Amino acid sequence: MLELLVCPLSEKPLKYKTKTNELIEELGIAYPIIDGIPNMIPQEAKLIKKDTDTSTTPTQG
Amino acid sequence: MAASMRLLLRRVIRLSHRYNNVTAAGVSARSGCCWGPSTCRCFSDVAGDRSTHFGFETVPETEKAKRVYKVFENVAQKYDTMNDVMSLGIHRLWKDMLLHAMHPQPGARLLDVAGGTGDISFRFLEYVRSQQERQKRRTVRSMQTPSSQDISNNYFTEDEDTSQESRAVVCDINKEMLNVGRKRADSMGISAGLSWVVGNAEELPFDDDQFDIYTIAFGIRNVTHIDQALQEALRVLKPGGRFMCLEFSKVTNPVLARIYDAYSFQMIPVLGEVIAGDWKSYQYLVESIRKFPDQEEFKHMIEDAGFYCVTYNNLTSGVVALHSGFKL
Repeated sequence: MLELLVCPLSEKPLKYKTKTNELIEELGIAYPIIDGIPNMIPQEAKLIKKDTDTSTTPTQG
Repeated sequence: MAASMRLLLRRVIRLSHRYNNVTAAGVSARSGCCWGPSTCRCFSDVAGDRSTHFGFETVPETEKAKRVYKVFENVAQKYDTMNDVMSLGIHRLWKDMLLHAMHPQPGARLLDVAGGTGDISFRFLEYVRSQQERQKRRTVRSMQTPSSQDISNNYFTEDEDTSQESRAVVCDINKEMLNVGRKRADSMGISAGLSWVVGNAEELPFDDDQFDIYTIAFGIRNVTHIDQALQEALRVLKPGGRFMCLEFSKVTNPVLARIYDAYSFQMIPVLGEVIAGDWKSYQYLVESIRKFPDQEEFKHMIEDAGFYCVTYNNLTSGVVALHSGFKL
């Protein structure tokens, strides 16, 4: 299933991080996986890099 | 025949006047606007903010997605039951017709957007599986008297389980709907080839040219920017891939249209309150149907997005329309 998913914003491929159960994209965006279902909504993703000003925190939609 | 129809109509109209006078007036006032072209769908106000419709309400575009999310979050648990009650089970026929029109072959990849509780994906996997079984039976029947060469060939060729290749991805913006869908899949024992993703139809988390078939059943009218969803559909489909959309549309027959309106605005919110405890969500659902473009206009929108050979079929006299287009 991972082969199909890409970041909706940049269309770059994703890597699965077992520790945090997230899908990480090259530019540092992390998409959470809840109950085995990946959440690919950009507004609910986290930015991993801390040097950027625009940081989106996970919000309950 | 005509006389009894007129009696029935008069009774229905009297009932509707007795109950919700305001709503009835609202419908007739606004339905004039609805039947017009796209001008009433989306417009900017003086301040320059884009606003759109949420049922018959006008809301800022940014609001709409949130409110739609809340509607489906509230109705998720009772969604399937309500579908059966509201459409008297006919929604199953509509979805079956979608599958028959689709006629998927084993090995096909489906993206079911706004797939929610998974109705289309389950049918897809079932259909493909029964196709395969039919093929197997055919080959067995034709191989009743195998030659020794055939027998030795069969020992070497692996019988690939092509149902592994047929894949259905259910994508929905709402986690609750997907959770309900996944529980259903587990209880029905369907898991092979089925994936679940939370995603936005306007910004799909898939690469270009990935899917053979893209379906969106009774979901596209809830999308804030329909043209963006259509463009995304075009992007993720393989060349030769097919876009299929089931959506409520305009009833062509004026007599049936009035009965349908009365049923929609009088019965459905009441049923919503009684069964799901939620009048407002079902009021939104029936209003959103009225705001959605008609068959021809939607066909033009699909063509504008870049699809070819766009056609539509009316189901149940236009209560539902099945639109189809190809990426070439």
